[in-house]
Amino acid sequence: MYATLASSTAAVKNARRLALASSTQSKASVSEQSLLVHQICAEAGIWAPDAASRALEQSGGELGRAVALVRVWAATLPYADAKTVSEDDIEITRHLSAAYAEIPGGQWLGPSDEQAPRLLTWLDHIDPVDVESERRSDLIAKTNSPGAVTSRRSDVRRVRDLIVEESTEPSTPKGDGPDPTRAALTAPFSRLGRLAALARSETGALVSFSSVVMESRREAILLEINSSIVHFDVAHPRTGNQCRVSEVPIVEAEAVTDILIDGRASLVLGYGVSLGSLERRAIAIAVLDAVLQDGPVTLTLDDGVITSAFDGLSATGIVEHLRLPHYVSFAAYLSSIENEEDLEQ
Amino acid sequence: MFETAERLTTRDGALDSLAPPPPALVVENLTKRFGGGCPRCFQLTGPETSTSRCGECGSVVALHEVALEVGSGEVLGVAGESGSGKTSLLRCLHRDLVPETGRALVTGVGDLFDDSLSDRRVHTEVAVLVHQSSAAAGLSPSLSAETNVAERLLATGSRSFGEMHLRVGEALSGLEVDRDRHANVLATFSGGMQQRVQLARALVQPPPVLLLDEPTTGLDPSVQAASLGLLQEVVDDFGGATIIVSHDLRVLRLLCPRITVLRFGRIVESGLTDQVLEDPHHPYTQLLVSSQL
Amino acid sequence: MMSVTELTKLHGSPEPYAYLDEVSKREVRRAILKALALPGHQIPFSSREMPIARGWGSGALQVTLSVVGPDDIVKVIDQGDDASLNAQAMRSLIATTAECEQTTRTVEATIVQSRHRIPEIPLRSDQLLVLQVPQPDPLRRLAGNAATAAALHAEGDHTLAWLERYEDEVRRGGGATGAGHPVMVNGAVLMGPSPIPPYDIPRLDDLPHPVLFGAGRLARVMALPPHSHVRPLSFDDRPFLIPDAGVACAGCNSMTSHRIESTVRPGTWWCSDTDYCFSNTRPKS
Repeated sequence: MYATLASSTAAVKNARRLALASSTQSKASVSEQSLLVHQICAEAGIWAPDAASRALEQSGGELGRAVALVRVWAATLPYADAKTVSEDDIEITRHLSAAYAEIPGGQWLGPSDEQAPRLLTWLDHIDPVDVESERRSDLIAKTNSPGAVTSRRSDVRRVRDLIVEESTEPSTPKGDGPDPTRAALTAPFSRLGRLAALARSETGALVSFSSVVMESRREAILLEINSSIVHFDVAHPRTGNQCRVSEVPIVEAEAVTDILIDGRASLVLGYGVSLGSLERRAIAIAVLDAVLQDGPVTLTLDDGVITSAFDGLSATGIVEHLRLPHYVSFAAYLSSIENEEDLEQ
Repeated sequence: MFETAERLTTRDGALDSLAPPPPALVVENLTKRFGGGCPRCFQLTGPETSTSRCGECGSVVALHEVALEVGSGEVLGVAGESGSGKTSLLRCLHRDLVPETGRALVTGVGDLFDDSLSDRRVHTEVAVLVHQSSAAAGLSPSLSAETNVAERLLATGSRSFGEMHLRVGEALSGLEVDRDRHANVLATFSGGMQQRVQLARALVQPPPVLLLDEPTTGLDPSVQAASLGLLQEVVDDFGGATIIVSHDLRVLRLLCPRITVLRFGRIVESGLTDQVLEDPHHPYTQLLVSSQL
Repeated sequence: MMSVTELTKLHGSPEPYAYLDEVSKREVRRAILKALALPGHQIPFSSREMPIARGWGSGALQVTLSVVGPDDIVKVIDQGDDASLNAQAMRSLIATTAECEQTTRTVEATIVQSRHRIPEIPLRSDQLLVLQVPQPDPLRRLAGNAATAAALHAEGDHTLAWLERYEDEVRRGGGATGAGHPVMVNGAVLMGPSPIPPYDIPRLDDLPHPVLFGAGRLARVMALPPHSHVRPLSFDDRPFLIPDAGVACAGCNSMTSHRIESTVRPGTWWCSDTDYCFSNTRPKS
């Protein structure tokens, strides 16, 4: 994917600066900026970083308890219906595809240190990276290889539109889904219901299970991954005017896996979204959503499958490696599907 | 269905094959227990005690010293109610179960229970099972009918697609599976059609042993007659040893010249089907006959 | 011959030379030797946690780091592209820790580590190709579990892989499978060659140089010694066909390379091997 980025090492450098700036700005070891807080918010199903960092402290760092504290706290909060988020309310900060070398709008790195070696440093002091001198949005723009054109979701073409001609199953559902905190989901779940439930699922479980289902598939390709800021509007209780109440970071992913439709090889599209910026959550949800559209999943859970799925690094590895470019193998797969269609015609 | 039965039992030649052909499958001393077992298991179970569960240790004696012979081209019926051990017998002969003692000698192959034979070789080259569940018979519901049939050719090393395609197509068409359905995924076939695919899988390269488990159970009554007619043709033409297991004496009477009756893991009566069913000696056989025929 | 410890002393660094400690390297090397002795077989090794994510080439990286020396010149490509981020990160990690040269030019490299492609320019016998492997066992998915797959390999029973080929023929008249078409090595061992495109599959045969395959997450190493006999799994009467764009590379006009269609400018095709493409247009020196 990052093929086109390649030519601009500056994009990579800026992405790393941004990521470092986020992590070194923290005053304490655990802060609002911490990804752990993002994870608690995602699993609690509410974007409340203040509450989440408080919960983390009060639980002594025990993640499960922290999530419980936030969920319990949120359960009795007054509930206001927000306006359904439209594509105009989403501001993209990172936009990548593993399926194609180039995508409309460009491969856009955003804050990212995924390519930095995973080496523990024993230095006591890391110089904070100051990006304040440069406007953050300008810097984000500089992580796009061809230079930022736009960042609104509604202005950036979806990568899935590139394969509409291929056989794909129904695309991402639109509109309001059921809120699992306000409605009991009943089987069979609607797709929106499933996505809502998965969006606040436990991170490790999502990653483990998607790593298992991926093992049983010929292909799993990440079409698109985005980090964005979503603006939420709520109607003013007196005036009825829409008021912006929150800006929430989200990660969205769209993945395809192979599927047989009427005995014909095709692709099925899965979508995943999660609060915060933990990409493996969204990728895992997208994979699970795609596979579940093919009907219930039958898994053989022998010791080999269990041990590799429950090794965090191993499962994370298989899920996150979907971010790597796959355009050569994806092209090969598409060409084999086309081959089949030609045969039928 | 009854009409078909009449016609088929009185058909020419059915009585000509009375002289037993040379055995193609010889089963000796087959014993299978589920559970830890104890020295008194065999004494405390069987038709005399009317149980297959050992009162001492709780083990189930599924088969005890079962012996039978089936000749080339011969069809043996195994009758019995659930718990009689007939399913265990079939599962042993398909090597889904490994017996405690006993041998199953297949002409040209040797002992079916020999460790040097892999399970897959048994399933694809020696004993082909036709079962109510295609998955239990070793077929894959997510593959096409044609590929499922071709598996046995592939397993024995065929590498010419054109030749296999031709043979598999003939085998399926011979069993009245429409040509335009050959490439369809097996899961989209009805029970009766899946059975035809299974039969085609057996006939595309006839194995020494053919095992049929309750061939009419689970089929829609409207297709049972047609299925029986087809089965009749298949087992008549089949050159190896066929064993048909059923609780339904009418099915066995139609398809099998010889019959063996199992009860609580023991053979209680064997002989020519017509003789056994006309004049049953063992009280249990008498009960079966009076309740079913 | 210099031992790794001596090299470390020489470089005066408290960190091991080429990142991996000597014991780890020795273990990987032992697995490589075993793999070379048993072409195509999956040799287990105790894969180390690497400073890159598992599934991002950690296996191939361990292989490369175990064989690299200060005189080597390393090239790393991803999908054929030297400039891909992941490739850049690994190339710089290797070159820095092994204190060796790096290059993007296939002809200059002594070690080429690659993900999903075999370089377009044929490697010489003095060069080494290291491929990144996500799933080393072509029977694993088909058999449903690793233990059954291992038993089938041991019995030389490749029926499941043939079944998939047969199904491909029935469904789509054969032709290309996706990436990573299974191959037979020396007529006996079934091997998954990593997700290289169909174009690269026949190019594995009779290579003058060794190919090493590293799967870090699943802790396996495989190898093809020079001049291994490698054939795609295909029926005798169905030749292994390679889909071709039929359109020349928009960069270098090549009609023979593996080309990928541009999504931004549909209808234009480009070599996926960027060095090959550049070398076709670069003025000859």
